[in-house]
Amino acid sequence: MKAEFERKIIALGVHFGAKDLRSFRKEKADIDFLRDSQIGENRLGKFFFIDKFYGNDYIHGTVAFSEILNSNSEFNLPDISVGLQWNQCAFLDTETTGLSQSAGTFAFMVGVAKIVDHQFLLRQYFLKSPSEEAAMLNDLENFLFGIKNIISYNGIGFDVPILRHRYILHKMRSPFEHFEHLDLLKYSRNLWRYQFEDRSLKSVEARILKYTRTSEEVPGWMAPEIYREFLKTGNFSVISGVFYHNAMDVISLCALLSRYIPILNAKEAGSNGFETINFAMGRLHEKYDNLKLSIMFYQSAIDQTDIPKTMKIQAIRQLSKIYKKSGNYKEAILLWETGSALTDVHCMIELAKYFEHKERNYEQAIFWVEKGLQTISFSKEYGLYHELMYRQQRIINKMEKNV
Amino acid sequence: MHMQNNLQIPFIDNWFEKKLNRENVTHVHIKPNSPGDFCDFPESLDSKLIQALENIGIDHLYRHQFQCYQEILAGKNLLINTGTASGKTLAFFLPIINRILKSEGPGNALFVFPTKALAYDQLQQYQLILNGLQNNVKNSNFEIPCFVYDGDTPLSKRASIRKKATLLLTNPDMIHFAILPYHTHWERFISELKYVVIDEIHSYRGVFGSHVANVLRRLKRIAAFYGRNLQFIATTATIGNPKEFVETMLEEPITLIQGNTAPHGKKSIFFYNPPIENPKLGLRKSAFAESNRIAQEFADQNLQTLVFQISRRSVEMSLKLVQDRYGKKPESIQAYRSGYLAEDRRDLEAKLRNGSIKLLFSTNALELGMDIGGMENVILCGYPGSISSTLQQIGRSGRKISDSTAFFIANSSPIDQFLVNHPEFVLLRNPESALIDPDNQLILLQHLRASASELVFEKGDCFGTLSWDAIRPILDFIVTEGNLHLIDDRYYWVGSQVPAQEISLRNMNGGVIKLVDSKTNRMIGQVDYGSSLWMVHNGAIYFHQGDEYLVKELNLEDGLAVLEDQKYPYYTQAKRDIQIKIINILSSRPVNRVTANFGNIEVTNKIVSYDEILWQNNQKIATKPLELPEIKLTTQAVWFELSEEIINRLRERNLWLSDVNDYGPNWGKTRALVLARDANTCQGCGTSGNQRSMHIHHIKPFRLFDSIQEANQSSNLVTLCQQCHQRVETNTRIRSGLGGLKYLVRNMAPLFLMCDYQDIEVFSDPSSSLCSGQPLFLMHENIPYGIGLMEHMHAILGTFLSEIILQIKECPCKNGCPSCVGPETELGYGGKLETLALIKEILGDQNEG
Repeated sequence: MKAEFERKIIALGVHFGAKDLRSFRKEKADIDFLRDSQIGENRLGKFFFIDKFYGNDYIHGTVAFSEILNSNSEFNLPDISVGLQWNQCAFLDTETTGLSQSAGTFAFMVGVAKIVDHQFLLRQYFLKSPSEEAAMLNDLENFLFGIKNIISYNGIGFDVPILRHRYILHKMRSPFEHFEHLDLLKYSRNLWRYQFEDRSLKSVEARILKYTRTSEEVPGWMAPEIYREFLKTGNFSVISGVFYHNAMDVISLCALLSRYIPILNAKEAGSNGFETINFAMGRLHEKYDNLKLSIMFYQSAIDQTDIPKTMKIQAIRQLSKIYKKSGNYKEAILLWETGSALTDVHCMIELAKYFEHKERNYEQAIFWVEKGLQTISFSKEYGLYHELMYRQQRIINKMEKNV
Repeated sequence: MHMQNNLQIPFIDNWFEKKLNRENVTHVHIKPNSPGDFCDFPESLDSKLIQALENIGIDHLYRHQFQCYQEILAGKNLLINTGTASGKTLAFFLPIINRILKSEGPGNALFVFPTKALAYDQLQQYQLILNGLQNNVKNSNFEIPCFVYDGDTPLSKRASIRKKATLLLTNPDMIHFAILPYHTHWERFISELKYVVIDEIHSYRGVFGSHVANVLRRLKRIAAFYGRNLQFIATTATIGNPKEFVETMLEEPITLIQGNTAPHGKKSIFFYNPPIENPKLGLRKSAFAESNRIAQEFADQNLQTLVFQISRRSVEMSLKLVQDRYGKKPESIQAYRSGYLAEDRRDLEAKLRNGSIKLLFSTNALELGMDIGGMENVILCGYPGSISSTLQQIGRSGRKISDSTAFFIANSSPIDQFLVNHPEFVLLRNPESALIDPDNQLILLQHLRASASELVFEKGDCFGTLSWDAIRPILDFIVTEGNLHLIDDRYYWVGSQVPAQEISLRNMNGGVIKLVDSKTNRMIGQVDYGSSLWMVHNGAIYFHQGDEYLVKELNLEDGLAVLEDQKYPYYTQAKRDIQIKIINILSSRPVNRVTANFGNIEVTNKIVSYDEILWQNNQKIATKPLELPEIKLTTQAVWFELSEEIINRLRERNLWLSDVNDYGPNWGKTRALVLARDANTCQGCGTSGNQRSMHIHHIKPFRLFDSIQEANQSSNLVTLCQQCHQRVETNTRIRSGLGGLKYLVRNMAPLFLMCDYQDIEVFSDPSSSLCSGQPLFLMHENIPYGIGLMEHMHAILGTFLSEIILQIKECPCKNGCPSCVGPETELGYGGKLETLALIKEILGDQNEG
């Protein structure tokens, strides 16, 4: 693990070891962010945090926060039955000492934002010393009071379980059992699986929000090493980049959700410059059993001129499956014929099946089987070839019987 | 030889009547039958449970099971040592289930097994009782959730097992890297944990055991965090120091229950030494051939026989040979080993139980507790590596009422030969003591890292029985590594790794070399970094569970050795350049005529080359250089020097004069030629003399040659004066004696230390700078900082030497053979007389004759 980590850094041209983190060490002027820092205190001790507000005038890439703050507070998402309220959402991202879910990993920074008085309040807790954790967790619980939904990026799999286990280690009740979690990574995957290779928050924010981070940004995977450096020296200038990184992660979550709401709720097709989105929406609605919308998006994808051929075929297969399942053979046949014209053997087999079993039109059936055999290459699609041969023989047998 | 005339098994009596068999049996040990000692179920036992037991045909307990039940009920930590097939499972399972049935507070139980297979075998047995129970309980929701949690458990099932389990069957490795580091995921289970059952606890000895002891320390720390105080129950095979060993392992006082009160029939144990085929070389018929022969004789009589063999390869070969003999593949003859699919193994076990398999060849995979029922006959083809295993394997034979037999068939190794001639060592004496050292600095460091990542340490904390003062320096060291952050007397883990994942319990160093089969691209095993240099260097022939591999490449950077599975006519032997530095002497004591030192040393090892040696005749066919980094090992050693006095006495006794060689008809002529060549002058000290006073010395000893001509070549002859000749001969003899001692000790010490062959190393130097030029004999551990093997050796050295001297005395060979001081070679092994004289000299006169 460690060796892999080192190799990763070295591959990026950075020397390993705390002394080489100098490039991230900022001049004195850069610790301005400490201006807003506060020390809180509760029955479990003192803790450090920074509060920052993002109001109507804040613009994050292409998203003006006034849009969110002035919008009707309620919104819906495809897989969630009840309406959500913006002011009951908390946006959460943590920086941890490691990537494992073991008891040895803790979040040394927790960034969490919610709407307070028509502004986003971003609070970043930071453990100046690991001993402040219990007090911090206690305050986090208070901060989340009244919240119903946690919005995160891969938080269901990572940030939230880590925090939950920290509460166990401090013998405190975890507040995280009460929330419904929305993981925007899940939506990013649904929407952009066919569009972008990299669906990390940073990549998605650059493409969807057109937001680019400043030179203050440090890559998240360096955070643990930087934190250890901070613990050794107590020098805040080392850690400023991590504060920036964490703040932007949380703020991007707010902006991204506001972008995703209309996309995910779209009732009409439209590519917005992303040629795979109609297909992706078709799949998404199919997954959540909203077949009407699914059919509409698939059909739009098939009708698109700028869609790659393989995806078009995939859309045809998916959509025809829906029609076939519901017994609408008329539509299904049309699609299979389109697919066959695009030389898709699966569509030819579907047609052969249809004519063999439904119509008992063996001539048509054998026509499609033979078409399939002409289309595929014996060496590459051995399995398909045999399936077709088998089918052919069976149909011939049936034809002979009928004669 | 102790022999009863009538063994009362007609076939055995007939078998024994054959001269060939009788002559080779060195001893027969008879264990009389016993009707057993039965008890009623304890009063506190839940009636539903009693009914469930009666449904599966159990209507009473043996006395020892009853005792175990009572002790566990009384809250005692318990060690059960009642032998194979004594119903240990019931002994600990009943009180645990009873507590759960009666809802008497937290009652979760963790069952720890040394192997996965054993866990599944036990699961079946538990479920038999649990299912019966479920049928007796009216409430259809009643269930005691019982699961195996190991490396094979699918990820998709793990979360639900964590959520549900009341009884969890696992292995120490899993506790170490899958449970403890993630203990917050196990909050529910650990908060209700009461019992920890450690089955076959004797398997955790040496390095492995020292690791496991620390895993238990970590487990207790975590349990205490969740407010639990654990009760431990362990089972063990017979070892020399069960109570002491388990108390060291658990760091808890423990109650020992011994004595099997289950009924059993009469059992005869035969010690069988294959006959000598080549008297000159002392070569015997192979144990392999003999055990196959005897196994077939039993199979022909329809007596169910289990044959234990050392390697997987010999298991397969036996099966093939026997099947070939029958000219078909009878279903009733099968093989069993690791590497078979789990379901195939379960099937074989079931067929063994129901008797449809009559002859089974197996590796030690069947030695540990798997439920296969008692065999009518068991054959051990060679010593399995420890007395404990020997007893365990012998224990596989035994019937409740009828008679049974077991055979120990010796191969030609010194240990085998020793045991076949000293069956009391197996049968009567205490078997080996199991040794562990939980406080070995390196092992402790690794587990403190793991433990610190699992739970914060704070001032005043203990780790097992180690006080704060003992662990604090190590924690401070981890702080300097940057993985712990110290503030307000508390140590916070800030590292990114999960330290447990970098520690292999079955290995010493973090650095592990993975062994990859080049054909299948599969990992077949691993060796630690240090051993990799001599075990799997480029070109080495490596043995893995009896299979032979050629090492294509050792890649230290990626921690990988690529192996090719193929059979070669040679084996390899790495040559090392060894430097030993004595760091300190911890204790010294006279052992007869020498002073035995015990202390810390530093060994610098560099593998410089390796030899390829033919299997057939042990001829070296090539020496190839190697370029490998040197390794430094700090460890513990036992050593002694041979004083001038001892050497003088050896010299005075003029051992070699009793051994006049016939130098051949031309000796007079040859002698004169050499004297003339050397001008009647001693080539040692330069004094000159006449033809009579001067001696002619064979540089390479005469007896090592097959032909007189070769031995008497002038290049092998040199003129020496009487004094010089005596000195040179003495040195040769001491060298040869030391060589023989080294061979014997190297082979026999693991028997006495209950360690693996590779855990120790032996070193000798006829003129060592460590003791101002005197001959030195030294043994050391290969385990960094040692785990107590040498400390134990220091304590038993005198006894040890007087035991192994018997091995030489009783060996029928003339000048040394693989069964005693090693084969005669020019390398300095052999020299039976010299080795004998040397040990006698060390032991003093009382051991003469």
